Amino acid sequence: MAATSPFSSERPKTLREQSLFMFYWLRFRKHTMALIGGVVTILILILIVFAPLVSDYDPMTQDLLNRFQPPSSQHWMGTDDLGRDMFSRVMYGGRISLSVGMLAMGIAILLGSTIGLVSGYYGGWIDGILMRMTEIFMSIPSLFVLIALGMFLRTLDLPSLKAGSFLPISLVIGALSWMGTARLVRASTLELREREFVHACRALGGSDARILFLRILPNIASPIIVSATLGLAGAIISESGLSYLGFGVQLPTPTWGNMLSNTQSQMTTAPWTAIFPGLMIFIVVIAINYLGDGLRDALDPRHSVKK
Amino acid sequence: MAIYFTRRVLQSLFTLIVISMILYGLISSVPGGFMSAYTERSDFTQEDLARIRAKFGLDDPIPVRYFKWLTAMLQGDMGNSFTTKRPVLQEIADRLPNTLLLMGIMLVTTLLVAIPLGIISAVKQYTWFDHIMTTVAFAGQSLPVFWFGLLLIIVFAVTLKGGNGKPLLPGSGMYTLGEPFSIADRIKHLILPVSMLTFVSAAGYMRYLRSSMLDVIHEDYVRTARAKGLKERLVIYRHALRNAIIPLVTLVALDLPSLFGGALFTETIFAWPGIGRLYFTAALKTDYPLVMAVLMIESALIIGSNLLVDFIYAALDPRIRLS
Amino acid sequence: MKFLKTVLVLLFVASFVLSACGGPAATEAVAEPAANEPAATDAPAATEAPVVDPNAPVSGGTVIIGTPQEPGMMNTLLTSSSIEDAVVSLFGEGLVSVNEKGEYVPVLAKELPTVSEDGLVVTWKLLEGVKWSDGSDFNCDDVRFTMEGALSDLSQVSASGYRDIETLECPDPYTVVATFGEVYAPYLRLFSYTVPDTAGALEDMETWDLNRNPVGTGPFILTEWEPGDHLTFSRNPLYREEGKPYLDSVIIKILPSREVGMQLLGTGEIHALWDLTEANFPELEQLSSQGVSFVSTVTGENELLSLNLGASDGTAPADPATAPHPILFDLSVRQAMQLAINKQQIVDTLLYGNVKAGNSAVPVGTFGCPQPVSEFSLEKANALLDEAGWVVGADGIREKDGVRMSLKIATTTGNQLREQTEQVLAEMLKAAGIELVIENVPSDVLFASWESDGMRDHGTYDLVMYTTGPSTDPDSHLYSSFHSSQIPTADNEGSGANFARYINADVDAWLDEAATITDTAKRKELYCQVVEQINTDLPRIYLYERLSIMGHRNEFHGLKISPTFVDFAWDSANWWMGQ
Repeated sequence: MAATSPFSSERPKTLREQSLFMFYWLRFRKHTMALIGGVVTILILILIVFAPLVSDYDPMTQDLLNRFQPPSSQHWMGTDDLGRDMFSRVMYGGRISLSVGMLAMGIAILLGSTIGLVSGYYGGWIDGILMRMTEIFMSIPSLFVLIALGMFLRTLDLPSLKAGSFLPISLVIGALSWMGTARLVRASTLELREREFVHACRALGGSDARILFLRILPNIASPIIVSATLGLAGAIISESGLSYLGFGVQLPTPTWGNMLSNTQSQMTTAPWTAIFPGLMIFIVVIAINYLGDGLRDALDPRHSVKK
Repeated sequence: MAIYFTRRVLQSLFTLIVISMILYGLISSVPGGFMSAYTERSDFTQEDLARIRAKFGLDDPIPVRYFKWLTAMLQGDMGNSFTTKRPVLQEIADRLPNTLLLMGIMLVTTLLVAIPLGIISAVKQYTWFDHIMTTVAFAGQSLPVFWFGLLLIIVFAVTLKGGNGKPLLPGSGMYTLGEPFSIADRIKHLILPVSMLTFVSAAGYMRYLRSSMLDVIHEDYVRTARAKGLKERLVIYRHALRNAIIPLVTLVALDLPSLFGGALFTETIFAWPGIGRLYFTAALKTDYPLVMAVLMIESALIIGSNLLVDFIYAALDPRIRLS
Repeated sequence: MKFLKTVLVLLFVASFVLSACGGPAATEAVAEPAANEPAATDAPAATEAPVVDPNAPVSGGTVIIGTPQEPGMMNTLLTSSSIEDAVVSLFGEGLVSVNEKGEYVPVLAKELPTVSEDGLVVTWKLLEGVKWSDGSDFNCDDVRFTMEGALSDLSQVSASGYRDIETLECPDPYTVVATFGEVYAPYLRLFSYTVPDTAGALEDMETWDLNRNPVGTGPFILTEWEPGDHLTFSRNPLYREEGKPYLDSVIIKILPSREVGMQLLGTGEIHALWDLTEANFPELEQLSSQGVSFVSTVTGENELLSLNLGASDGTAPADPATAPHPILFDLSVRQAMQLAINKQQIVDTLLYGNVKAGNSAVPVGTFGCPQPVSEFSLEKANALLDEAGWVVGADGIREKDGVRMSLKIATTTGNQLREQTEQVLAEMLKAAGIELVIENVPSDVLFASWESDGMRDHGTYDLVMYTTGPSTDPDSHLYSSFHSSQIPTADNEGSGANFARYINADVDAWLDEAATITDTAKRKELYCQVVEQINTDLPRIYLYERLSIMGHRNEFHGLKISPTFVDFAWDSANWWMGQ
C-alpha cells in the first residue's frame, strides 16, 4: 500500500480496488495455515490438470499380469485390481472429483444466492414461500435422501447423462446443499436493503435487478466466497461418500470416491489401493478448509475487530 | 406468545406434509423396486409376480398409494415392513436402543473433549496449543468418515494384536458372541466407533466454542470484569463461558436428531445393529414402508428440534415473537 | 445446561439397560424351554465315539456362521432373500432335497415320489413318527396345508406346479397322492419345504407366530434372535435321528461385509462364512495358514452376456426382424464378439483359474450338456467384421452406414467381480474395434419387471451381464429364456425371460416337446439340441461358470453345499466340531 499514494487522484477506482485487494491479501497472508492450504490446493490443481505430463501411464490401460503391485519406482502408488497404474488413476480421478465438487458448489451457490437475494430484497409473501422451501430442504435428512436420489438419477435415461458423467451426482449434491448460503445471503440482503446507498439508487430510478446485482451483490460477496470455499470441501466429501456407497460416477472413469468403494475388499491384501485415494481426499479437503478459514478471517471485517 | 406458538407449529406440520410428499414420490419412483427380488427367479411365473405385486399394493398409482399411506400414518400406523412383515415402528424400536447407546456415548465424549479444548484454545489463542488443536480439529472436519473407519479397523482390529494373539480391539458388532454380558466387553466394542465419531464431531464443536469464546472475551463486560481485578479464572468461567456456551447448546440441540439416524456410515462400517444400518439395508431391498418411516421420523425430529430452539429463543427474546 | 446433562445421562443409562436386555425379548415361547438338557442326555453318544479317531464326529459344540445379509423372516411362504432360504433349512425340511452332487434325495419322504404311466399322478410316501418342534405329528395334512399356503393370495413363493395339481388326497396319514391336470415334468422339485398345519389361518399368514418363532422338523430350533446382530439355533430335542444333530447350537452372525467376515474367519471368531465369490480366492489362500479352508460347488449358473437382437429404443418388438438392433442383429457381429473375448484369460486372472470358462446353458446336473470352450481369435473376429462391412474409423472404433460400433453394457452396481469383468471385456472388444460403454445400475433396477420399466423386459439395453442358470430341472429356465413366446412385450404383459428377443422355430419345437414328456433320457437329448443351437445363434455369450463358495475353519466338519438351492444347511444334522 505504501507504493501507491492515497492522495494521488489518478485512476482512483483502480487504486481503490488494488488497495482493497492488498488490504485483504495482507490480512490473509498472516494466516500461515491458510497460505499453506492455498498453495497445496494450487499444487494439486496443477498436478491434476497436467496429469498426462506427470504420469507415464494411461489411467485406463489394464495390465492383467501386473495386478496388485505394491508401490514401486515404476508405479508410485502401486497398481489396482486390473493392473492399472494407481498414481495416474488418482490424478485423473482428482479431475472428476474436483469437477464434481466445483459443479455442485456452483449449483449450490447460484441457487442459494439467488433465493437469498430475492427473498431478502422483496420480503413479504415471496420471502415467506422461499423461506418455507428452504426450511423444507433443510429438514430433509440429506444423506439418507442422497442414497435414494442417487439410485433414482442413475436410472434416468437423458441423452446428456452419458456413462461416466458426473453431472447427475453434481446436481444431486448441489440441490441439497444450497440452503445455508440462501439464509446467509438473505440475512445480509435484509440488512443492506435499508442502507442509504440502496435507497439512493432506488430514488434515482434504478431497477430492482440493477440494485440487486450491482449494489447489493458486491457487498455480500465476501460471505458468498467463504461459503463457496467451504461448500467445495463439503461437496468433495459428499461425492466420495456417495461413490463409496456405489451411487456415484460410473466405472471405469476413476474418482477418488469410487476408487475407494472398489478397493475396500483389498484393504488387507493390497492396502495401497485404498489408502491413496482416501489420502488425496483428506489432503485436498483440509487444504480447502484452511483456505476458506483464511478467507473468512481476511474478508470478514468483524473478525479483525475482535483480535 | 400463543399466536406465535400456534403459527410455528402449523408451519412445521405443513413442512412435514410437503416433505412426506416429496420423499414418498421420490422413493416410489425409483425403478425396479421390491419386485426385482422375484423377477430374477426362473420358477416365478407371471401369475406369481402379479399376485405378489397385488399383495403389496404396488398396482395402484403413486398418488393413491401416497394417500393410503398418509391416512394410515396419521392414525399412527406406519405400515409393515415388506421383508419382515412386522410393524416398521417395531423394527425401529428394536434398533433404537443400540443407536442411542452408541450416539449417546458419542455425544458425551464429544462434549467432554470439545468443551475443555475449545476453552483452552480460546484462552490461549495463537499459542502452540491453540495451533495444534486447530490443526487437529481441521483434520477431523476434513476426514472422509468411512475411509477413516476403515483405517481404524485395519490398524486396531487387524494389524495390531493383543496379548492373546487376537486383534487388539473388535472391529464389528456390539459384543462378543457366546460370552456372558459384561460391561468391559461392551466398552471394548464401543471404542472404535465412538472414537471415530468423537474425532469427527468434536472438531466442529470445539472450533465453534473457541470462536464464540473469543467473541465473548472481547466484549465490554468481560473487560470490565477483568478491569475490576477479578481473577482470570473467575472471569473465564463465571462470565465468559456462561455466555459463550449458549450458542453451543443450540448447536447441540439442532444436532440431536442425528442421534436417531445414527451415523449411517459408522453403523454400516462397524456392523452396529442400529437405525443407520437398518435404513441402509432397507434402502437396498427397497422396503418402502421401512425406508419411509425412518425418513419421516428423522425429518420430524429435525423440524421438532428447530421448533424447540425457536421457542427457547422466543422465550428469551421477546423481539422475535413480534417480528 | 444442567437439564441437558440430565437428559443425556438418562438417555445413556436407558439405552444401556435397554440394549442389554434387548436379546431375550425377541425369543420367547420355544416349545422346549431347556435346550441344553437333551445335550446332556446325548453325552453317551460322545463317549462312544473313539477319542483317538479325529475323523469321527463328536457331540457338542457351537458353530458360528457369518453372513453379510440378515434374514427378515422364518416363514418359507414369505421369504424373499437367499439368506432366508439358506437359514430356514436349519429347522425346516421338505419331502425331498438336493444333495451336494445335485441329486434329489428323500428327506421327510421314505423314497423319491413315484409317477403313474401317464405322468399325471404323483405319489409320496411319508416317514412315520416325525414330530414338529411344537410336539405335533407330521403327516399328509401338513403337506396339503403347505400346498394351500403356496397357492394363497398372500404367499410369496412360486405357485408353479402346485397350480397344476387338480386334487391332493391323503388315503392314509403318510401317503400323499397328487393328480395333475397336465403333465408337470419337474414334479420332483415340489414340496422342497413344508409348513405345519398348526401355523394358523392362511389369511393371517403375515402375523403367524412361527414367522419369528419357527416350527420345523429339522435338527435345530431358533432360540434367540437379536435383530441386526445374530440368531441362535439350538438342538431340536424332538429331532427324529438318535444322537443328532451333533452340535449343541448354530449361531448365524450378521456381519457388515465379506471383508470383515474374512478377518473374523482368520481369527476364529466365526467358523464359516456364507456366500463368498470367486474374487475371494486370494484371501482364502492367504488364510489357509490360519486354519481356513473352503468348500465350493458348481451351481450350474453362468455369468453371461445377453445380446439384444431387437432395437434398444424401447420399441420392444415381438419379432426383432421387424425392428432389428442396428449392430447386434447381425449374426457375424455376435460371432465376432464371442471370438474376440478371451474367456480363458478372464478365468485365469480374475478368477484365479478356479472356475471353468462357460459355454453351455446347462453345464452340469442330470440334464447337463457341457460344451467345449469357444475359440478365441482376434484375427478371425476382425476378419468377420471386415467382411460384414464394418470399417475401422479414426478413433479405432468400427462404423457401418453411419452407425458407430458402440454398445452399452450394464450389470449390477457394487459387484466388484462383475465390474472387473466388464472392464476387461471392454479392453478385449476394443481390440476388435467394438466400443463398450459401461452403465451399471443397482440390482433391483437391472432386474426390474415389465411394470417397473425393466430394461431387460423392454429391451432398452444393448448388453446386460448377469448370472442365471437352470435349477435341478432346466425345463423352466430354457423355456423362459429361449422360447419365442417368452419375449416380453406389451401383449403378454412382459411375461418371459427371452430378453435377447431370440426366435428359432426348431428351438421352440424342441422345448415344447420336452415339456410334455417325463422320460429323462429323451428330455436330455432335446435340451442338448437347444444348448447347441444357442451356441450357434449366440443370443447369449456365456463367460464363466459360477461357483457357490463357503469359507470355513478346519475344525468345523461336515459342511457341504448343495449346488442348486442356495442352501448350505441341508445336512446340518451331520455337522460337528473337532479340535
